[in-house]
Amino acid sequence: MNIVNFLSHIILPRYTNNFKAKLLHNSSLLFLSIILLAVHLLTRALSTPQLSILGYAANISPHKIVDLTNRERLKAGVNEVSYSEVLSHAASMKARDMIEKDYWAHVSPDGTEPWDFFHSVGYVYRYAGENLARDFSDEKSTVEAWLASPSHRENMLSGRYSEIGVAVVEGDLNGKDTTLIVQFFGTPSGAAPVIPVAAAESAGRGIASENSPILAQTPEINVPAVPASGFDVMKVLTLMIIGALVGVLVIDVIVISKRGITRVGGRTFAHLSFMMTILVILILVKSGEII
Amino acid sequence: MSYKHFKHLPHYFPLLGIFGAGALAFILFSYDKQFQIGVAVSVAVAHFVWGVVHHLYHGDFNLEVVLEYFAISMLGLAAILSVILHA
Repeated sequence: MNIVNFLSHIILPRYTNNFKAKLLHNSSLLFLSIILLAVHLLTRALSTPQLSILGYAANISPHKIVDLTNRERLKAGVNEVSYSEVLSHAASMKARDMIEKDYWAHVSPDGTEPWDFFHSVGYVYRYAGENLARDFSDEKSTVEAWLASPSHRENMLSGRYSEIGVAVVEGDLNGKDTTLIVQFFGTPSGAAPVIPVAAAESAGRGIASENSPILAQTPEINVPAVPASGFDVMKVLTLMIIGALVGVLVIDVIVISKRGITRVGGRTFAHLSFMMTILVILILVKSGEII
Repeated sequence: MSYKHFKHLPHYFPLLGIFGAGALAFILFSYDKQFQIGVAVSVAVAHFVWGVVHHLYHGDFNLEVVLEYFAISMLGLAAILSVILHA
């Protein structure tokens, strides 16, 4: 019976909570915010390479990214690109460079451009392009993110390219276990003019560190599965908290209007619509970032 | 539904419009994390400012109400940022 009373106190407007569910009191909202912040910091700490408890690990196949890219190109009426081991090697070098120099950008802090990796593997190109992604959980969401961005989409669906190379590399980037995906496009050329075509705009950032370990490398990666990433933990937790609040706000609207209770406070409908927006956004948020 | 309920309606349209635009921006700019953070902050600030203006207009503005809108806005923002910053 005490439990029923306690739950009623938490979720129902009644005399014990001044006719406002305890969960909607400012003190409870503040408490929930602190809980979120604490779990966020804890999951970040647990996913650092030193601890690696919640370290991010994705089993992404470079060949599947090539397949998905070609499917999208065919849909757009553009020629397929053929897989190039040489370009994949160059992409792998670029990914390793980002891990070793600890940066996330198209151009490294020391000024190394994507095209330099093409040159270093002896790939003489007529056209060349680069797409970067990090921390995606699968190939499909990576390709979808690139397609959603106009500059990356232009690279993926450009008819000027005839070859593709993809590398997936894991390592410590800015103190966090990271999965980097590098997609290089190119059209080889013998005597033709050398023209870099496109790379999505970048803003160089990151501080150099010494010899960050590389955990896995393209083309064959076999990363042990991790139960859940920090992203998954936070997403589930926030969905539960915001979902519970939406439920309590709905109950509040119904009970208050049915009983005709008048009280001093904010508009429940405004709070409800705000929390439902947050809920929708949380459902839409996906892991991963592209540049 | 009384007149009291209907007279609030014009206030809710812009609020719902802002929230709808925020959700839409999240879909359209799913590839831009910085922009998504900006949208999250904007939506939370919009909720808080709407609350202040609405209650000032209706003459029932007080500190308790301000704190309530602030707490709800902060919780919503904390929820989104804690997930985005992990993504």
